[in-house]
Amino acid sequence: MVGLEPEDTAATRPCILIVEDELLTRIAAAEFLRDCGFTVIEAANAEEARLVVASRAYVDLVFTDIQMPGDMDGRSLAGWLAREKPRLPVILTSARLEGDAASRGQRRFVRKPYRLSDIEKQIRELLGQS
Amino acid sequence: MTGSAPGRLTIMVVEPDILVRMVLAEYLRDCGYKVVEGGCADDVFAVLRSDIKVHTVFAEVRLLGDSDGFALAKATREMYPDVDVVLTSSVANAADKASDLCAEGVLEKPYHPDEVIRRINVLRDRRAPRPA
Repeated sequence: MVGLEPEDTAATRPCILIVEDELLTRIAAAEFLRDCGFTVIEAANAEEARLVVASRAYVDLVFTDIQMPGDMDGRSLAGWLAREKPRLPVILTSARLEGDAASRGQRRFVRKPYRLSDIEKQIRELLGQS
Repeated sequence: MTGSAPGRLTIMVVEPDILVRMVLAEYLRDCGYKVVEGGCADDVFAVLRSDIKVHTVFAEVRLLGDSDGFALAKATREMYPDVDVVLTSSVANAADKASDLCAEGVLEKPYHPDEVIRRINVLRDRRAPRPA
């Protein structure tokens, strides 16, 4: 099951929460990261991501698109995460240059289109696996 | 286990409640199925139009968007007859409306994930070639 508690079997694999409204992009990224050995939770928007983070699910890193429909975009989600889960690493992505979303600390920015292998590399760096 | 080997089957879980969807999807993955996830009928057809081969759609009756699970099941049967559809709902009378769309009716919530797998296998078994 999804890492409901850290001691769950699946929780031995780092859990990545992908937040992406474009379905086929999300599926491709999720499948790639599962093949890399991660547990992956898929959210279609920031509201779903907030529900997951606020639940008992154990998330090690959030990988989120910036441009998303709804009241909250990826940048706002990152701000919420910074307040609620300040130690949770976040990778933001966008097809646009996002000056104020630049990489710093536990936050990274990757411009679209990205190579999934680069995302894996960034994730492993943030999780201290590199 | 009856039915096709899990590793060869792709299940699309269509459930608007992410906390339900993520748990079921991960359970099915742990059982060896390939799983794709969606929240509405449009998601299903986007996947079916892609190069992702889906064998079974497991969908909540009450979906996001214009189409409910019944409309999804009907359209899938018409356009993608090789794709099985299993519906689930917490609405008590949903089974009556689904009687002509689902072989065993709507799977009522709360369900045990093993019952989901049993339903998937029942439908796949019906498609299996029978010995002459």
